Amino acid sequence: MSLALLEYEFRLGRRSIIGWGIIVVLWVALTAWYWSILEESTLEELQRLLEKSPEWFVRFFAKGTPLALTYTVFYIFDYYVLVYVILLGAYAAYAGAGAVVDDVLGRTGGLTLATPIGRTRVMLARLATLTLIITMITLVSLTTSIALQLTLVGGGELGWLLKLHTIGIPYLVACTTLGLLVGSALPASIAKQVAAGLILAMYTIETATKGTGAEGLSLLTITHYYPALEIAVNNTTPVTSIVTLVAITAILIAISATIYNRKDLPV
Amino acid sequence: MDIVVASGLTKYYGGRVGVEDVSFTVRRGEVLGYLGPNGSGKTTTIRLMLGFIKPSRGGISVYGVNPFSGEFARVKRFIGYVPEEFSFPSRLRGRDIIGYFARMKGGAPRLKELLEFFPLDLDKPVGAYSRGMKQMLALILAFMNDPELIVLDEPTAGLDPLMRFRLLELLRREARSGKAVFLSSHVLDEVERVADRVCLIKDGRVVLQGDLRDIVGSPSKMVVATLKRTPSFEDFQLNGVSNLKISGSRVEMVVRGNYEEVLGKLLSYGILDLEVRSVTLEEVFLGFYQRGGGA
Repeated sequence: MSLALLEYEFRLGRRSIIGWGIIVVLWVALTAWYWSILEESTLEELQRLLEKSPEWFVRFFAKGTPLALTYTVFYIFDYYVLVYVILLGAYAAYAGAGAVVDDVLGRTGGLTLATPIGRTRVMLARLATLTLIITMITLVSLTTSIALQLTLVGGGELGWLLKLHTIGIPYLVACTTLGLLVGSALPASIAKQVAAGLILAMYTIETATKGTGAEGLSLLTITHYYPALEIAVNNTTPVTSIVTLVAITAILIAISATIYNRKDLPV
Repeated sequence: MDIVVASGLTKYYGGRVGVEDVSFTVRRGEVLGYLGPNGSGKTTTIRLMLGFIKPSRGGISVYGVNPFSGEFARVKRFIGYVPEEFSFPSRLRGRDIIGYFARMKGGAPRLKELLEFFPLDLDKPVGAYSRGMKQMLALILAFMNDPELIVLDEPTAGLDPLMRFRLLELLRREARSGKAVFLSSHVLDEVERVADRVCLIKDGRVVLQGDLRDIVGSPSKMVVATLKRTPSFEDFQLNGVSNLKISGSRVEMVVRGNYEEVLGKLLSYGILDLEVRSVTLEEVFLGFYQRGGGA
C-alpha cells in the first residue's frame, strides 16, 4: 500500500526534478564556461578582489576560509553554495513542509488520508519521494559538473565533486525533515515559507557567527554540518558531520511524526 | 447494528463552533441523510468521523474504534469516502489514479460494475475531465473496494441528472445490501428520495433527527388556501400554526392539530381553493433554517 502511495507521490513530484535539473545544468554550465574563458590576468585581478572583499562577503560564501582562487573555489562560490546549499536546501525544506500542509492548503488530502494508510506512513512515503527527487537532482548536478569540468575546464581531480554531492544528499534530506517539522508544528498558511526561510537564516547565522563569541550558535544550524568548502578544498570526509546530519534527520522525523499524528488536518 | 456512534460530539475552531453536542448513529442497512446549509457543521462532522481532526469534547466511534487513534488505519479499509472538495493530479490518466488508489485500498473488486454505472474514458488525462467526470472518478474510488460504510459529502455536485439518478439508485442498493451510508447534503429532494433517517444540523447543533417517514408523515399538514378576501396575519396566528405566510389572498401554513379553528378562520374569509397535504422535507428544513422552528 505504502509503495503505491510512494509511486503516486513521485508521479506528482517528478516535475520538480525537471525544473531543478534545468536550473542546475544551466548554472553549472555558466560557471564552467565563465571559468574557461577567464584569462590569467583576470584571475589575478579576481583573486585580489576576493582578498579585498568585505569580511562578511568572504564569511558568507567561504565561511572565513582563506582562499586561493581555483576552479574548485570558483565552483563553490558561483554554483554550489548559492544554488545547491542555499536554494536547493530552502526548496527541500519548503517541499518538506508542503508534504504536510499541502493536503490542507489545497484540500487535496482527503482522498489519500481516507485510505488505510496511517499518517506516519503517509509522511514517510512523502519523505521517501522527496529523498528520491533530491537524489535525482543531485545526480544531474554531479553528472553535469563532471562533464563540464572535463570538457570546458580541462580535467583535473574529480573526487571532490563526487564527495561533495554524495554528502549533499544527507544535508538536503535533513533540510526536508526540518520542513516536515515546521509543517507539522506551524499553521499551514505560513509553514512552507518559514521552513525555506529557516535554511537561509541558518546559513546566515552560521557564517555571521564564525570566529565570533557567538560561534556556538552555529552548532544549532543544519548548514553547519555540511562544510561544502572544506570538503571540496581539503578533500576531507567529515564523518562526524554526516553522522550528525543522519541523527538530526532521525530526530526530526520522530518529532514531526509525533506532532503530525496529533495534528488537526481539516482536509 | 450501529456502525458510527457520535455522542456529545463537539469541535471548536479557536472560539468558533464547528459542531456542538452532536449525537447520532449510522446503522447497517440504512442511509442517514445529514442535512444543513453551508457552514452548519456537516463537513466538520465528517472530518471527525474520519479522524482528520480530533474532537474538543464528546466522542465518535466507527466500528467501535476512535477515528483519531492509530488503530483507525485498519478500519479505513471498510470506508469509502467522497469529499466535498478534492483535486486530482491533472497529468495522470483516470486509469492511473484508479490503479494507485486500488493498491492503496487493497483492491478494486467492484471496478467493472462501477464503470458501467459511471462510464468514464480512463485513458484521458484527468485535466481534460469535466467537473462531473471528476466527481464520477471520486465516486468510483470510494466504492471500488466494496466498503461497508460510505461517507459522502455533497456527492451529486457537478453530476448531470442521469448520473445523479444512478448515484441515488446505487445508494439505495448499497443500503439494501446491508451497507451503511452517511449522506451529507443540502439537496433536499435527493435526500428525501434515498434516506431512511435524517439528521438536521443548524449552527453546529442537531435540531431534528429521526425516521424520514415520521418527519414528513408527521401529524403536521401543509395548508395552502386561496381566499375570497385578503386575510389578516393576526387572524391566523393560532395555536398549532407555524410557518405562516400570507401573500395577497393566498395563505400558506403548517398546521398541527387545531384544525377546526383554522378551518373556521378560512371559512370566515370564503375559500376559493384549498390544498391540504403532508409536509415535505424541504418545508421541515426551511421551518428550521428560515424561521427558527420546526414545520
